[in-house]
Amino acid sequence: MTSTYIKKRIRATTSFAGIVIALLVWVIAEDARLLPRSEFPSLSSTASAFLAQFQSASFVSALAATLSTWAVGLAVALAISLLIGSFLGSSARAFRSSWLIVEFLKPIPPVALIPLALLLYGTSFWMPTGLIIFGTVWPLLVHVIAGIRGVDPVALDSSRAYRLTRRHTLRYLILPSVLPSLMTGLRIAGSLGLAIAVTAELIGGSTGLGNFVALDESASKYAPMYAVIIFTGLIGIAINSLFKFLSRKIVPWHHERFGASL
Amino acid sequence: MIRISARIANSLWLPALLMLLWLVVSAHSSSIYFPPLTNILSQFRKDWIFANIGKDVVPSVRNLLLGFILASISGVVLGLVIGLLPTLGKAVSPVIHFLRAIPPPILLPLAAVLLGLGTSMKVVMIAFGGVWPTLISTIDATLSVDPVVLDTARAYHIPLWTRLRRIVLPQASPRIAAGLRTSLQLCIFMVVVSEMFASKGGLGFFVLDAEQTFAIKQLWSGILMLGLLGIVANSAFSFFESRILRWYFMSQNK
Repeated sequence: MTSTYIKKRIRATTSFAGIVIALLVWVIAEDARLLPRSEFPSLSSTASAFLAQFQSASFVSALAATLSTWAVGLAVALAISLLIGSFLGSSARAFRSSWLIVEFLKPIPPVALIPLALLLYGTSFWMPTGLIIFGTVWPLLVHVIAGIRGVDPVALDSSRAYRLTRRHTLRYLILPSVLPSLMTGLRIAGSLGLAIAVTAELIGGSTGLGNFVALDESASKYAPMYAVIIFTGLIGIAINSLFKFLSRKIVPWHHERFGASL
Repeated sequence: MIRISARIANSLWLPALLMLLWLVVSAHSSSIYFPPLTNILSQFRKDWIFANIGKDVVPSVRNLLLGFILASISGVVLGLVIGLLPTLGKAVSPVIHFLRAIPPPILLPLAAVLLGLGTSMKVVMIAFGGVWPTLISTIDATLSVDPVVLDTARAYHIPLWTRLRRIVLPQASPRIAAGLRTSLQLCIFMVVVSEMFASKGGLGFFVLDAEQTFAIKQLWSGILMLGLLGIVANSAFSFFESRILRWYFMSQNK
């Protein structure tokens, strides 16, 4: 008990030391003029630019745009993949006749469709959102199907033999198998969705953090550019932690290996 | 024989039907955005056999290969080092956590300032965008190598290089391969984005340019080509994976 506590403390201290060292390297490199000052703004000017962003209305609206397309796109993709996935996962015949289509469409890079989305939707809300839906539906769909196909067939037969109601079968048999897989899919889709949102804004020019950084770069405003990039990284961490937290709440019995060390 | 052809028919009827549907429905399409499939296919022939191969496909494929190789090597090497030195791992984990959480495309403006707009910037950004899954699964896989085996090898004074080659890598390779597969997807993503951002060649540039000049048929033929690139890259990866990890897949099927 105590030893795990001490281990945790040591771990936290080491991680903290890592952050401090990384920031120190920045300050020292800046002091020793190792880097061109104009392109590498100092830590303090980046920090003050970071704080100044929250007072700028254009930053706040860019942030709101990115987060809302991300949330709506992910929610629609989740609904689609639950609907299609539960059908494809529960019928062997449907799965066999459709896996080739999924395998064919899955590797198409969603960003390849940016030009098409621009033609269809301009720089409106549905341009980045449509791309997020197309890009994140595949990892979600694959994980829903894997979860449903992972239900123990013997348990399924038993539940049928004992005439469990559909609701009970769903609650005690299907959901416990689908949810862990779905949570993994959601984490992958979450960070992929953020990357697609930012790319669509950067290339397509719709309002959002990606476009914000591009504008700062073309205006040579490097301190705010660094600040917004750092901020986007923090959003990425927040999204990851959110899904980790949800995963621990919803499927506490499921121990996720991937990235467990970090 | 009959069973095999039945299985092929089982998995092919729906894709074939959908293609046919696309062909028939689009045949008399007058929509500017969705031209008839036959027109797209003839444009595809005009663009890619073999007129623009050298200008657009070759740079994309070359950048993908260079970036993916750079990402694989740095991910595996750094992952092994971090995995074998747990204290170092704890110290760098917040930095890694942060860097991989940044959506890589947003770094393109920064990379353009620091590295210019040439091929080297693209390759670095492709590698940076793709390295994280390989790095993390290598760290995880190295950390989960049986510690008793490692300690025993150390007690017998088996040199580090042999320990790596004979103990760590074989146990870690299936999971490293899983990480590499995800890395490949991200690298393809970054190839396209890097060519769309202030670039003058490559498939990403081709489709974006087609959109900006309102050349809808070229746009569709470029999207088809990009889809093809993704599918070919993934199949090539699966082919090499099944060769190199044959012992592993065979042990799983037992």
